[in-house]
Amino acid sequence: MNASVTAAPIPIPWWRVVAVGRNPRVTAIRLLALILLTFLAFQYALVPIRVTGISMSPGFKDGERKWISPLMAKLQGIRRGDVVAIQTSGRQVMYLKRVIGLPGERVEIKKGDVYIDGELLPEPYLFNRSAAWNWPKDGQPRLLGPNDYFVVGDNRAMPPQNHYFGVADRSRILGKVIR
Amino acid sequence: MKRGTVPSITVVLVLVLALVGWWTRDYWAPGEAQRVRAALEGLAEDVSFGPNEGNIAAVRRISAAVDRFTPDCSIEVEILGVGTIQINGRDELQQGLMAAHREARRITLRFFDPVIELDAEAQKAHVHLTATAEAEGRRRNQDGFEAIEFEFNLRRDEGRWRVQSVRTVPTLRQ
Repeated sequence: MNASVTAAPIPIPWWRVVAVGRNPRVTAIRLLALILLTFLAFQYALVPIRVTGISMSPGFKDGERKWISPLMAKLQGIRRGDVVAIQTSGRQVMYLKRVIGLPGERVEIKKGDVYIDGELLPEPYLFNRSAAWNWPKDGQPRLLGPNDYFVVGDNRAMPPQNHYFGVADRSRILGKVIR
Repeated sequence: MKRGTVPSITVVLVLVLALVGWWTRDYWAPGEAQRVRAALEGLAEDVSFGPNEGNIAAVRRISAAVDRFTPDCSIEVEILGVGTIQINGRDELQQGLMAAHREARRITLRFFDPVIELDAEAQKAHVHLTATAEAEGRRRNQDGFEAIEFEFNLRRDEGRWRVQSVRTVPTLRQ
């Protein structure tokens, strides 16, 4: 009769399974992959933001949370009507504005109405507008440069002197808001 | 335990320790950039005040804030709905801060994303940052929130980093 002896597997303590898994090497690789994916996702695909202020109301309310996608802005490009995040000295504080004018266009605001290359721009997203809005101050339409985007907030019932708007360079636009 | 497990854990531990060390490097060995950052954070704290601040505390706080500027300081900031505010020297600055204390119940100033550049001798610093100010007025409709980009120039003065000039950076062109 042949007798064979096999060593009983040494049980892995439960705390080690909880801490580093059954195979620590695989766990380490998974962990690194997860960190890398999370970093890439929050850097390029989805950036969480919290809206502060009323310049984009009523569409965007004070305290509301939204997502910005730099990737979508790269893939689709920036189009008229997109709501974009404009970087300041970094990403912690950004302006949220709507793109009204695109590179190469002539833009002006007369008594609250926006004209692009001389034609009135329909703006269905506006609820109210004040006739006090006029831009540029010299009364002449502004020709946007090859990297320039004219951006304004949606709350045009606000007095224009209390509302920050103007021309943003493409390098300042981080991404667009995902609906 | 399988062969190779111990080296894997060691490698992960070393990586984690290296990351923790890198993240906390400014705490263990603060450089000049970190001192500039600390000076600006102190300034933001000294300019901010709460609703229950008494007059003596306000005078002490404002004196501390003014002391963070050089005697020849100049400030030129553009604020929405207010216009351009120009301040030259510590006396004007003190008066401005006193006026802010009279007008507002609460002001919270915070600095974000400072980009610090030092000169070769680490005697001057140029800082590009974003400031947010949240104010609660003493009267109705005086509350407000502003986010503005600034350029700060600081210089080492009697061993301390003091603000020499402040200018607004326009995020959007007109």
